[in-house]
Amino acid sequence: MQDASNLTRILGAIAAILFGSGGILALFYGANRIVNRFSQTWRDRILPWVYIGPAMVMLTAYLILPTLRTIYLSFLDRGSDKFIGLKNYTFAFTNDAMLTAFRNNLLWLVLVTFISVALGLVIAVLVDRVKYEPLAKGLIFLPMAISFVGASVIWRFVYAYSPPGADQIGLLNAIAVGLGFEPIGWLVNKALNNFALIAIMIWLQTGFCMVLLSSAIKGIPGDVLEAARMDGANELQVFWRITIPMIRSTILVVTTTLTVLVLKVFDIVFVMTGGNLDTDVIASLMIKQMFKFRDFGKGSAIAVVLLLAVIPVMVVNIRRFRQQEVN
Amino acid sequence: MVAQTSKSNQGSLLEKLIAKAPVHIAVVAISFIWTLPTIGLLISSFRKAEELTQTGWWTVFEHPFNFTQFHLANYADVLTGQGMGQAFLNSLVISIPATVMPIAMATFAAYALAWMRFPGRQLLLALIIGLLVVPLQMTLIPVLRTYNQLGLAGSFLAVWLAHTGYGLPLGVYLLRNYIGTLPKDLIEAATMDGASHLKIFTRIIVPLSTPAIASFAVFQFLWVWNDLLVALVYLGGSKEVAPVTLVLRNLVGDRGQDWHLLTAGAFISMIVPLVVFFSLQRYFVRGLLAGSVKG
Amino acid sequence: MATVKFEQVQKRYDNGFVAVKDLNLEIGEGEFLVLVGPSGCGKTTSLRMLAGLEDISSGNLHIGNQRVNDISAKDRDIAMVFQSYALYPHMSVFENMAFSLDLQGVSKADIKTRVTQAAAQLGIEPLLSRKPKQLSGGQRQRVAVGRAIVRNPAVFLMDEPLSNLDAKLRVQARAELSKLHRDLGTTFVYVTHDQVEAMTMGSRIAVMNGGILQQVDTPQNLYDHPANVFVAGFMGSPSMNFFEAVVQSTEQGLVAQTETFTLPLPHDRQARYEGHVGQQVILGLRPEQIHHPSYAAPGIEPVAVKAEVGVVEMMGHEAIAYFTLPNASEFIARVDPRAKLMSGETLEMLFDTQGIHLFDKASEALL
Ligand SMILES: Nc1ncnc2c1ncn2[C@@H]1O[C@H](COP(=O)(O)OP(=O)(O)OP(=O)(O)O)[C@@H](O)[C@H]1O
Ligand SMILES: [Mg+2]
Repeated sequence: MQDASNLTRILGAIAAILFGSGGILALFYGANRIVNRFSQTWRDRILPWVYIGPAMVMLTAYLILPTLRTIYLSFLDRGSDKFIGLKNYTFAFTNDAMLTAFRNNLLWLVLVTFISVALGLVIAVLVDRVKYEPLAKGLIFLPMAISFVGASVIWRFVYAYSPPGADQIGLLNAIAVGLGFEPIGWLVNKALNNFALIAIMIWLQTGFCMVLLSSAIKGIPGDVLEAARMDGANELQVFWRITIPMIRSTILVVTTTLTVLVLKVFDIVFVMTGGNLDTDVIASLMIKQMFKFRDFGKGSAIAVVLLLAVIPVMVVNIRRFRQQEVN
Repeated sequence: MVAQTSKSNQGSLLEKLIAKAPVHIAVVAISFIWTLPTIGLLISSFRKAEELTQTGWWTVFEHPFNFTQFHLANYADVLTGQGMGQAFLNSLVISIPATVMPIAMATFAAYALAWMRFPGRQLLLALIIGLLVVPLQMTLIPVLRTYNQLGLAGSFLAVWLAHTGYGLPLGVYLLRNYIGTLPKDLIEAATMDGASHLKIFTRIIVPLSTPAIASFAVFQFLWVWNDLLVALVYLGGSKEVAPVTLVLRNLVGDRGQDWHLLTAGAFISMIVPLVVFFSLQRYFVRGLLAGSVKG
Repeated sequence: MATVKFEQVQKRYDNGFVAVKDLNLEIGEGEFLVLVGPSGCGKTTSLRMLAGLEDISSGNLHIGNQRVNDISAKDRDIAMVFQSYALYPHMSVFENMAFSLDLQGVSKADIKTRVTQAAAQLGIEPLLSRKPKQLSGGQRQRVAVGRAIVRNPAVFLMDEPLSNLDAKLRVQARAELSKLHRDLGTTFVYVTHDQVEAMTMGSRIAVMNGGILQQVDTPQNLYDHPANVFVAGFMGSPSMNFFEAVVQSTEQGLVAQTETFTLPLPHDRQARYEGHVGQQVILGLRPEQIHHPSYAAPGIEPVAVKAEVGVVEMMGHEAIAYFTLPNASEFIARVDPRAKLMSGETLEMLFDTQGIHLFDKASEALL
């Protein structure tokens, strides 16, 4: 019985895959056919839109319109029936839970970006000098492939707590006890829990920083470094005065990417603590408003706050793109 | 004379080693620390439930060749008893079309943006780059409402389409950057050879862009497979359609202290990404590089 | 095979720059027309308009007796060899050559015969299964030509197809392309900035400068009767010498008088220059028409001009010598290498007055 339903499921999956990919290709072929009936000039005018159309429709339907609608909803009440002005925003910027979330997000932002980038940079420089570089990089980069949920389970296990006296099964507490301390409730201690969560993100993202920075460092022409050494710079000076300035744009890219990622962080908090004990961040509060309190006005307002936070990054990116197009 | 050189050689070799020792120690230590949590999970997932909650996983190294301390029951349990097997299939059903669909759309769009002339091209590109960083959270409520009205909530189609929409900005952007750097002469040569846009696309652009397409494919696949938020919001709680991430997260909520289930479940959720990662790491890294450094 | 006709064709790029102005040019069936001119003069632009890769801003373009302004590149029945060769990197040589036939829906068997035949013609049969990456520059060039000839197009376009080859290979490829043109009998339009290529390959040459067509003629006519100072200076290497002069009437007939020397104008052209007496002109004389007194060719009408020898470049079969006139103006002569010129010595060089060209000083057009 179970097997039979699994079999239909697998067949269904295959059918779905064929439907997904084949359907799209058929769409493009069909549209192309139709456009070929037109005269040359019209064909040239229409064809770009045929190619770009499906993507534009999807972007409009799933990103542009919903974003606009969310902005609109943020001015309505919980059931989206009545216009209530800026009340939701007043809530978003004065509510205690929100203020804690802001504080936490700021903490995440500063610590994750700074430590991941710094650590990634140091590792990138270090692994450049050893023969087993690919292996070391692979191991550090590996967490990038793991989901936030998976990583959360891994780290719940690392942070696992047993009462004093019992054998500790969590790695960290085992070490703490081994060193003669009391076991620590990493996830329940309000002074520590946020840092415990942030550590997971750092563990996940350092590999990303390292890979990007490492490839930027390798992209620096060898003769530039040699010229600096010929000019009498020692390794430290070469690093600070040549390497860092030359990879500045990559550092900027990595930083902005991490910024956006951290602002949106949700899964780790949701799985590890459910946002309890002062660990909520903006994104997890938004989901809470949506599902737990079913207040779509407040949820939308919080989402808009997130959007406002990423707008500077958006502007930087578009500027950078403009510059590149000019070159 | 000879002895002297060889001695000084030895000295310099030793010196080199000593000078490099901190580097080696640091690299090995960091790699070790970074790997340890995952190793712990992997080992634990094979340990017996009682032992797992009694002693730390590192105690297995006290008798490294005693294989009786390991078994596969945790996996059997979580796969059938906790619905992980079903979830694994669901994850595949969700991830593959949610990867193929945006690839097709993004590649066509990227070709048009790179090589076709039409008004508003630059504006569209700027828009797509702007959309690259829009938080998903901005879209959840309206899309969910629409899904509820259409009766799509809780269906695979709902998540396929949503992931397609969310993945497109990166896909278009990444592929346009790549396709835009193909030599203009090649495309013109194909035009002279009598190829229509569609033929140029299928016979020249797609074969030459496989590295970039593969990069985006790997990236999108991992993203969808590892996603929790989209599945949580649009699929709801139904076990019929829940992917591994959702089941794993529910497991954490319901059976938070059953480490034998959690570790095995987590590892099942990780196995596909890890395989993809190890076999296609090159493309994954290239996707990241193209997506970020180039800019 | 087809004729090509440009009628008042103009190209204005999006940024407003006019790259080709009022181009009028007829190319006959089976002709090998070479478009030549300095860098940036609009050769590639003209060729690309013909190919259909660039829109025509105004004017008419005909291939055969069809106006093709609004016909897209793929429907013009034209093949082109790109400077970069533009071989499809993911296809083998065979697939590269078969691509256009495949698109036309030619049967597999036919494709095979035609590709093999073209490959045989170019001597690239052993390369058919290779990828472009595995070919040398010269081999790539042949494959690019092969890709064009399998289609048997109405017109062949080539944009500096030899510029990526080394000097020796270029000479060989030149001869091969000429032979190919003879064998195929198709219309060729060939762009180059190398006037040696133009002279050796073209059945006619069109010289362009600054987006304007200067002159179209056979290589020899172009060389002998350049229409203006630009063409005179551009064709021929080293370049023609130019002196400022005034046309004067003397008892012996008309002469061209410069600051330092006076040359009688040829008898058969006296009537032609009659109307220009007293006028400022530019006098042109090619380096090969200035001879060393000991090695002057027979049959010339020499006038001795005193000049000081400057740098001498020995080329083996000839010597290129730079001379300075008393008024510090300079000229170049192509002399017999046996004349052992010494830098610094003063000589009486012989100017062959039959080789004189006179141009109007203001318009630079031939008089
Ligand atoms: N897309 C364009 N937009 C604006 N101006 C252009 C464009 N393409 C070419 N030009 C200009 O048109 C002029 C003619 O260019 P073209 O490529 O035809 O020269 P060319 O004779 O082939 O020179 P070369 O021997 O260097 O290849 C040049 O001044 C060039 O700068
Ligand atoms: Mg050119």
